[in-house]
Amino acid sequence: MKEKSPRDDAQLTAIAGDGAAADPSRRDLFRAVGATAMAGALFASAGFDPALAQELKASSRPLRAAFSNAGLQATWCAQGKQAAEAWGRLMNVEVVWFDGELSATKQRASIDNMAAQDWDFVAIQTFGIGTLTDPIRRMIDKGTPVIAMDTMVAPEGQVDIHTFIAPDNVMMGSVVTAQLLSAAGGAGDVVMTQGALGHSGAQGRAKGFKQIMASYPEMRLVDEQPADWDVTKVARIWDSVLTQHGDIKAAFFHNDDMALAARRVMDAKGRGDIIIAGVDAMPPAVNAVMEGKMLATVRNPSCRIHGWAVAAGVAAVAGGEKRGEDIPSFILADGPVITQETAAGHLWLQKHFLI
Amino acid sequence: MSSTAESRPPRRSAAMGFLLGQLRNIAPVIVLIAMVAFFSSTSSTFLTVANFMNILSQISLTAIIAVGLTFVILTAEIDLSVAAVANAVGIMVAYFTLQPEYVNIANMPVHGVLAIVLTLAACFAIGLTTAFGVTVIGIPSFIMTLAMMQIANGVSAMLVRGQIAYNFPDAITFLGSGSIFGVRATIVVALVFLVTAHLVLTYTRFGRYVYMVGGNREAAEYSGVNVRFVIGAVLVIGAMCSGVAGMLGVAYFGSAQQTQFDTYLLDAIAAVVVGGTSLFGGRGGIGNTVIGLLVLGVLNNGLDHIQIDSFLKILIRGLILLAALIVNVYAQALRAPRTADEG
Repeated sequence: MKEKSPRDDAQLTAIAGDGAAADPSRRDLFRAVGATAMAGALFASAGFDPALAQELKASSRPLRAAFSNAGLQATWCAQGKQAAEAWGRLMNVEVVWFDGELSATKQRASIDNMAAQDWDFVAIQTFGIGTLTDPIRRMIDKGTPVIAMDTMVAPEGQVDIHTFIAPDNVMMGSVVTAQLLSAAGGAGDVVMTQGALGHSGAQGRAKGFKQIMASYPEMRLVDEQPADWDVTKVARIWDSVLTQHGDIKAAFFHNDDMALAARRVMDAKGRGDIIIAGVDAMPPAVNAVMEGKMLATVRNPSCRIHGWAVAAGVAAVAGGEKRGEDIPSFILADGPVITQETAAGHLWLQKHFLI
Repeated sequence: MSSTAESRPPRRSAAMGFLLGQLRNIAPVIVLIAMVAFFSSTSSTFLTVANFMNILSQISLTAIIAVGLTFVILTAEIDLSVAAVANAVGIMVAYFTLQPEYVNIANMPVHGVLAIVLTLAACFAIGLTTAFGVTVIGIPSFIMTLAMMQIANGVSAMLVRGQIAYNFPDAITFLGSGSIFGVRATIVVALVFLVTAHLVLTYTRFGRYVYMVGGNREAAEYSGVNVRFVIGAVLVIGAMCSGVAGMLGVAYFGSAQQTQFDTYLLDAIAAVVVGGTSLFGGRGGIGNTVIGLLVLGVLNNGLDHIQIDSFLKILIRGLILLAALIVNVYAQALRAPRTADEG
């Protein structure tokens, strides 16, 4: 049996990080190789050419980053937290979470508390645009790179954030609507159930929906009430919509939770023929697409947004990337339309926080 | 010897009786001291002047709302519309202010002073409507303020229509986000409200009437107190406090938008009750509210300074609040027999 050399130990510890045992076994070796492969897959999924990705690597010293998103009650946000923590482990970053609790006031208090402490970098998805400006400015003044995720923290030009990583909500609304209206045959009544009207994502998705609707003159929008992301409101709205309109062909929802809630109402009223589509592509919706309960959903890539924020933070702190010089002010985190053909593969990507 | 032995037990029982009587006030203070000690020992960033100012800043808006709510709860009434009124009033002051071009709101800009006067007048009207419903029509305050909550939410929705407003009158912007001698202006405003309310409740006839109405409404009526006026007045005071908090709140947060202040309702009620003011009226006061505010402020702030699972924080917060409320109820139960004995 070959004896281990001290160099082997050092290499394994370096690859596997602090969690590697002092006396590495074969399982440790596999774990280390697996972590390296996972990191490669993450970078590849992020669209990095290996030749160009030389600068993006785990930090040589442990970093501490503070993260906050709208509220961990939302599955999209909870998944984002898991993704940030997974990427953090790969890149030697301890991710500390400040929950926004789906409340502008609570998130503001959390970010005030965040600003009172020292961090290597910070990433925030704001619940209410403009409500976090003051503590974010304080952190930036201290020299902490602040990365905005998904939603602008303030109107453009007010805060010098490091970069803004977000999906294109107009595009998400339009691509999935195109699939929906095409499947509906291009004629008949259609419904759009909106999220909260003040939410920039809902506004973008509605805009994308209407852009596509304009090219289908024989489709008639019969209802576009907001349900404020609230599934109980969705049920109430759809009870009425189905009573008022007997010939609805298709429906677009600003997120999947609302789409699935409406699906139950439709099924209960014997209207399983209405084809529906949503946004987010969280696992329950992807499964619904696989089962044919939903036509399609478009991915709002929670894992990319949160994972890339970790990468951008490490690149700033360990790689010395400067705002406005080495990193653009906006990075598009795009997501595909999920149909029955692509659903299974997509679920695998989500399982490993790759999209 | 025998006389000493005879005199001891009553003295001990008097001291014990005093302690039991004060348990409602003492328990929240003990909870507060215990929390400060715990967070100080577990986090190096908690016990600093900067963080103390942070806590005061975070509770300042809740404090202004809680002042009004203390008056209401002392009369054994409740106001569920405080957060919605704060939200509506904050949006109203933005409605009367010129907004940036990119804000797509049909508003009515007027001079800053006039905007504040108009908004306060609207706030007074809201309070008066609630008071009319409760004292003249006879709708229970729980239901009336629930309706007013819906109305205020409707006003907010109508005025902003899903948009966000960013500009406010200069005076409001200063009081909401500026500093006075290095102290956040909202803290100073909250202090002014707390001190004024304490003086009114402690040293004025109106203050004594508030306690009388809450303690025993029938007795107050037989004593010649205009109970309906007192209840109406505290509801107007509640609305005005919420309105001021709403105006400063939009400047503090930097924007006015729908459902922005929803969490203030439970926070303000919790602050009043956790501090030791009785939900059944007649007992408590601003001192209790201050302790309640600090308990909530320290709890919320401290949990962000220790390494703890985010999902666990909400549960811990709930459990500590429950413990404080249980102490509150037991304190009342222990005091009741003593009060009966004295009577």
